[in-house]
Amino acid sequence: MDTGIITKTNLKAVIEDLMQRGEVVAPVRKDDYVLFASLPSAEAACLDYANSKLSPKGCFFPQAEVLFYYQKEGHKIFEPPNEVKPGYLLGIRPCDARAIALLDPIFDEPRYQDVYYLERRKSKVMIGLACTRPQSTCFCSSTGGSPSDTTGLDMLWQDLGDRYLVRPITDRGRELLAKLPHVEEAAAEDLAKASEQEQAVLAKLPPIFSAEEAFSRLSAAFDDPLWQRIYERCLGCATCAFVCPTCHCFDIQDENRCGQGRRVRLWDSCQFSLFTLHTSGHNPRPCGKERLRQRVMHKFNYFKVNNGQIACVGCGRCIRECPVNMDIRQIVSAYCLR
Amino acid sequence: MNHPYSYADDREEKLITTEGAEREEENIFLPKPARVLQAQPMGRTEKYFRLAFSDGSSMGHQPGQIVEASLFGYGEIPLGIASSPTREGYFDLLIRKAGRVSTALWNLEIGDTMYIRGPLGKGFPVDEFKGHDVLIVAGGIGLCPTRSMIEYIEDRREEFGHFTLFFGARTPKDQLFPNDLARWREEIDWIEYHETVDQGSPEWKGNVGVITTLFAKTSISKGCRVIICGPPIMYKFVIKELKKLGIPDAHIYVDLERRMKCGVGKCGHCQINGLYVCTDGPVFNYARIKNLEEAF
Repeated sequence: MDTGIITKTNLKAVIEDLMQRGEVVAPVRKDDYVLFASLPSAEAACLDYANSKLSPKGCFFPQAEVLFYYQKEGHKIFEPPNEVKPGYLLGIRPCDARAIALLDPIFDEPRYQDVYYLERRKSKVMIGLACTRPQSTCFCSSTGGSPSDTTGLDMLWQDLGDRYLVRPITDRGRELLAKLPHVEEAAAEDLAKASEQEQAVLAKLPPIFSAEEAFSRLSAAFDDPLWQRIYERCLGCATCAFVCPTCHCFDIQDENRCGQGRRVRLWDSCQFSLFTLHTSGHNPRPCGKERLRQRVMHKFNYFKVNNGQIACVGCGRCIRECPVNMDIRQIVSAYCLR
Repeated sequence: MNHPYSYADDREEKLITTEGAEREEENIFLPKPARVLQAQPMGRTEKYFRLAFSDGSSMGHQPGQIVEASLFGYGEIPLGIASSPTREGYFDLLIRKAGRVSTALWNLEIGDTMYIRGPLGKGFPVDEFKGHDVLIVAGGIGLCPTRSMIEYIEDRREEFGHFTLFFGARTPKDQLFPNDLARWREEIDWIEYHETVDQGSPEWKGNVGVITTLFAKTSISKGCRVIICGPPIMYKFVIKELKKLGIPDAHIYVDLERRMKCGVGKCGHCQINGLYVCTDGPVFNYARIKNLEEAF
């Protein structure tokens, strides 16, 4: 079967089947917003959502993570056990899946492989959910993505109203499709409807700039006086970095109690003044101007130089959550329009 | 419902564990214990350590590479290796008492254990220096990482041309490695050593002035390969002098320092634009980074 159909009446049974096979991490409603969490029951899955408050990068790169435990006496080091459960990441939006694919070259760099990230990353089959309701802050089409992009996914589902169109992308996805219950062969009209819907959604997302344009314009923008004006509104709170699906900076700290403890890593951000501060007092990025520039340039320029692609997927979380309404689209367009 | 991938919910119980799970894959975050063989205060706030890995393994580094040194309960800091790989069985570090971690490390004594990850980063490209005259310009604690190259040149003297070392310290009391300095002043067959201090003292008979004043004391050949390591302010003035001598940018290597956490090109702290000082450096060819404003 190339493409399948799961009717919504069977959704619960399908998710229950996935839960039998392994851990299912999916969007769940928490208070007023949606977050990714391990599903306690099939009903908890919330597939009728725009996007999660926090990106699902935390499933692979948690906000806080133990690197090892130690005991000073006897100089003992204990690696945390691998408690990662194999299973499925269900309902991830294409923008976020692309973001995780962008993190892979950082943590899976051949010389220095990050075992903790890779254990988590390999443990989950990625089941995406095509975007049918882009928000006003979405701009994936400007960063090289699309509402039904398949990068980083093993399988893509598309909501067609009363049913999901199920498209396997990788061998892992095809294997899963063969195993899933209640899957019917997709009819020609389903495929036609899906492609029609895809076009309609894409039409709602006209590109503001292209990834190449942003990259090349920003290549020459380092010394631009515009940074001086742009940064002034920024508080340096780093909310943008914490909600960003591709931001991957972290800090390492020791937590100690009576000669025992653990070394942990925690999300950090280049927007903080302490991020680059030397003990001597020298700070290579002394001001908000340099820090904001670093974040924007890293996403749209440096990352592409290092890894071949820009590191913004257009999810729009930084725009939505910024307390002072900074808009990365405006910042990049300001340079693109010159 | 708690976020399943945060440890916030089991914070109290899992702060401590004595159960480990060893992995087959190499874990880049695990340090190796190293025993302090020698420890000696130097300068005003520095202390010299000679260490050896407890498991008997050798560092196997290039001159100029770095390590992440740590003490459990305090944290981890990046340090330049101060000894040459040609001298086996130990490695040297110099620690300046400055912050929380460095002060805790400074307090270690002979027989204590320090934890080391490394060697990390790219050191001096030794092959680029072979067959050429070499000038090393070291300011203050910048003598520490360059000492790995100085010792390397001493041990493989025949591979290099004329070797000149400039060392500048704030005051005579701030001079590091006094035994080495005494030797370098007297031994003239392999090293041409010039030193200066910013501020002299009644006992000081040598040069007083910034490090660039040493360029007037000797002549540097145009084909010379240069290493610079020192406080951020020093680089631009030394490079200006080198320009006057007609030394091309590609023959100048700068050894930079940055705040670092992971040391393996992931955590983002040490980035200069798109470059990671921990994996692309800490030694950079000047031609490659001269246009990066945040580098100096």
